[in-house]
Amino acid sequence: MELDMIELRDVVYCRLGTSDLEGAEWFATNVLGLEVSERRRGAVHFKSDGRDHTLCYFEGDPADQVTAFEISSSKELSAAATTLRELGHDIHYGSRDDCDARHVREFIRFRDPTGNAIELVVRPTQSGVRYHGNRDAGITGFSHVGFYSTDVERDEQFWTQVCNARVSDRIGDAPLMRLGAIHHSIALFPFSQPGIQHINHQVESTDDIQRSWNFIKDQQIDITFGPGRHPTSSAQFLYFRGPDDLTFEYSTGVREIDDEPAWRDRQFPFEPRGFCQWGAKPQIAAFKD
Amino acid sequence: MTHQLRALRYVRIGCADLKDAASFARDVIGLEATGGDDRTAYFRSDTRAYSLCLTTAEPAAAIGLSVSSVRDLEAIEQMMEARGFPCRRGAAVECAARRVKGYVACDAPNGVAVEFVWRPLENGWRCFPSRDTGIVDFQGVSMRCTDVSADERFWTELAGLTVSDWVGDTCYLRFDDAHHRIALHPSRSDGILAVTYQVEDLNNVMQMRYFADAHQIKIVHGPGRQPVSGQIFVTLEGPDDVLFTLGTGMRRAEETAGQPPRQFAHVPRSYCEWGSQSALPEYAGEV
Repeated sequence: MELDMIELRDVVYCRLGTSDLEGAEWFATNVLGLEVSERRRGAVHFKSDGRDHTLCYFEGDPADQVTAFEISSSKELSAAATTLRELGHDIHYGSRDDCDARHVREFIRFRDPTGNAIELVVRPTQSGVRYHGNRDAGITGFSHVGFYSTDVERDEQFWTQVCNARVSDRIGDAPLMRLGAIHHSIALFPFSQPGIQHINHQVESTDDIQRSWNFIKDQQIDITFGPGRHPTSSAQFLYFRGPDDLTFEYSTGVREIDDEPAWRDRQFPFEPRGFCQWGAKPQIAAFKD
Repeated sequence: MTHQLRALRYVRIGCADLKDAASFARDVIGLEATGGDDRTAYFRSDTRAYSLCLTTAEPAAAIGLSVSSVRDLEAIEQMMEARGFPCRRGAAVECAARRVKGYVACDAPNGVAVEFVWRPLENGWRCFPSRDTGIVDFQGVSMRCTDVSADERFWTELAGLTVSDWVGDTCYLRFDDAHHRIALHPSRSDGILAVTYQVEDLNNVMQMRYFADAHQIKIVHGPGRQPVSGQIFVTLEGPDDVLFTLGTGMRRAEETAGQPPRQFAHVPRSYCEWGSQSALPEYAGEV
C-alpha cells in the first residue's frame, strides 16, 4: 500500500507536565519572558508570538511531554492516522474537550519510534493579539524542539521518510531537520530514553541574547551553554536550565535554506566545536559524548 | 586652529617586562610583531607600519596623530607654546624611532605625550597576525585623567577634537568619521587606560571572550555593547595596567550627523547595554 508522506507544516506548541505549576509559571513569565494567554484549572497557557499559545504547563508528571505539529487539513490528518497505524503506531484521537483545551480543530496523538508523544493538529488558533512579554527578552516566537532519541538513525528515517522533514546538517549522528526554510525545526540527540531535550524561542537580535545571558545569570539560573554561535545554523544561542531540568534555548540569526535541491547536508564533529564556533563548551549531557 | 588631523597612528606604552608585554600583544591580541630592539617592540594591526609600540624607556606613554603638512607642525607648535604647552620637535633619531618624517610633541594635562606626526610610515605588505583574532584596524585610545576637564579643554580647544557624547564626565572625542577615537575618563591616576582594536565582527569579540576564559586572561569589561557608540566590545586586562579592547560595529559620525553631544549618567548601564559589569570605577564599577 502506497503511504502518503505526512506533511508537517510547523511545530506549534509543547505541553509539559510539572509538579510545581506556580514555579513553572514564574519561570515562564519572569525568566523566559513568555506571556500568559490563558489560565485553566491545573494548566497555564503561554504565548510567544501571534499564535494562541505555544507552551502549556499543566499539573502532572514531568515525564508527560507532548510536542504538536500542524497538518494542513482534516483529510491529511486522516491520511496521517492511516499511515501511522499501518506502521504500527497507536493513534489516539483528541476528544472535543481536549481539542478545546488546545485551541485546535482536531488532532491525533501518537508516539515517535523513541516514544516521544507527538500531536498532529489541524487549524490551531491564532491569537489575533500580538505577544507582549513580562520582560524585554526580544522574543519573536517559539521556533523548534530538540528530542531525545534512543536510535537517531531509525528516528531520522521516521521524520524524513514517513514525515516530510529534510536533514539540513548533522552533528555526529544527531540530525538537524527542517520542515520549511528555517535551518531546523526538529533536532534529535542520542539518549537512553525519550523526552524533549530543549525548547527554542527566537529573539530579535544579538543584543537580546547577550542581555538575557547577563539577566539569567543574575537570577542565579544555570546557563548551560553559550552565549555561542552554531556553525550549523549560524544562529547565536543561549541555553539555560528550566523547570524540571528541561533546557530552554534562545537563538537569533538562524540561516534559511531556500534552495532545496541544491542544499547538501554537512557533517560536523560531535565536539564543542561542532556546536559552537566561538569556543563555548556545553554543560548539557546530550551535547557531550 | 589651523590644522586638520588625519588619523590616529599609534600608541606607545611603557612596560616593565618587554618580553611579557610583547607576548601578550602578539599571542593574545594577535598583533603582528614588526621589529624593535631590546628595549622596544613594534606591532602592526593594519596598513600602518605599526600601531602599538611597547618600550621599557621612559617616559613612554604617547599617542601619535597625523597631520597633512609640515606647516601644520609649525602651526601646532606655535599655538601650543602660546597656550602654555611647551613643545618638542623630533630630532632625526627620534623621528626614525617613531617611523615618521617629522613630528611635534607636547604633554596633555594627564601627562600623556601627544605627538602630531607628519608622513607616518605605511607598510606595503598585508598584515599577517600570529593568530586569527580578526583585527582590521587600530581603532582608538582611552585615557585616565585626574583632571578630566583640563584634558577635555586640551583635546577640544587645542587639538581640535569634538565631543560626541558624555557619560558623567567621561567624554568621547571624534575628529573623523568614527563616533570617537579618544575617550577621557576621570580617574584616580593619569595615563593610558585602554587601547582599542577594531575586529571584523561579533564572532571575533566572542571568540576572544572564550579564548580569554580558556587562557586565564582577565576580562575586565564585556562582552558588551557601548551605548554611546553602539560598539560591541570585550576588554581584557593586559600587562602594565593597560587594557586592550576588541571592538566592532562602532557607529560612524555620519549616521548621527548634526546630533549634538548627549549626556548619559555615570552608571554601569551607560557603559554597557548588555548588562556587563566591571570592577573598574572608570566603567562605573565599585572598587
